[in-house]
Amino acid sequence: MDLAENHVQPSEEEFRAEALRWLPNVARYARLLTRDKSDADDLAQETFLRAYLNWRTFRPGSDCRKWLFTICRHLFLRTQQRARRIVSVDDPETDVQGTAELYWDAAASGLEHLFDRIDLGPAFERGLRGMEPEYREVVMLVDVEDYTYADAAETLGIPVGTVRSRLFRARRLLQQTLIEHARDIGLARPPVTQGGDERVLT
Amino acid sequence: MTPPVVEHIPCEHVIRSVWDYLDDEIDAERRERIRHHLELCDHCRDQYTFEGAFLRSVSRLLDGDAGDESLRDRIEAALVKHGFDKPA
Repeated sequence: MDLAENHVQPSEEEFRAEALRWLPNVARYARLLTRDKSDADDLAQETFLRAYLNWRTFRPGSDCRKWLFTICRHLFLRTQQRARRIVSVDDPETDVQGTAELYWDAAASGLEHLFDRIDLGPAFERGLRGMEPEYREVVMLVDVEDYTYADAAETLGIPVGTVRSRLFRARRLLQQTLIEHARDIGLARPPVTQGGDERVLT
Repeated sequence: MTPPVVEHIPCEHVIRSVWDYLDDEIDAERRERIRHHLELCDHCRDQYTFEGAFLRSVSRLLDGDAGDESLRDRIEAALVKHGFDKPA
């Protein structure tokens, strides 16, 4: 079938103004999904090609970036042909507790200003690589693209509560990796083992 | 006229909501209560500062990971094959 015969083509100007302006965002999203530059470039290219050929399905005035992300994600999932199902172990209570413990651990090791101090790029990459795509993509949408939880949920086709718990877990995993990295390079001081550093919660 | 009373909330609830608060995913009343708590509580404020710095570093580190010009050229070349540079 001729792919071009059944679509309404946008003008070059329109497609540049509406769609191609989001190329850096789509490329970043693709990179995060695939974790490979070559695969990410292929995915970004395919995304824009699909968008161009299916322009009739884009509603003028709606959020084109969100539409492109949805195409990108569908293409990625299709290439993965994943039969696996995510077994949800999302437990907000555990995540809240873990978040607090991580902070106390960092503070006790003198790492409370870690994120302002050192080049965390390599450790950050490592943390992202070690994460399932489901977790990486919520970080991407919320922390980089500034999506609301509701918008991320709509884009990913999951409930808002799942966005929240995946996001919290992903952030926790990243923090863990960064704290371990700081320890590895000798930034942490030995943890305090004697009394006197106990928190008093109001 | 008496000033509005901000009801006290415990640290545990503040820590539970710290990321919702940073992400602005919280209703106005709860936001105000947390803000008030953070003004008064050093421990929670320290953790809030820590999590905020983390989120800024995530955004900063990922923000640079975008497509380059060669990718743009490549995509446009692919689009041209489907009539991209022809009048609509």
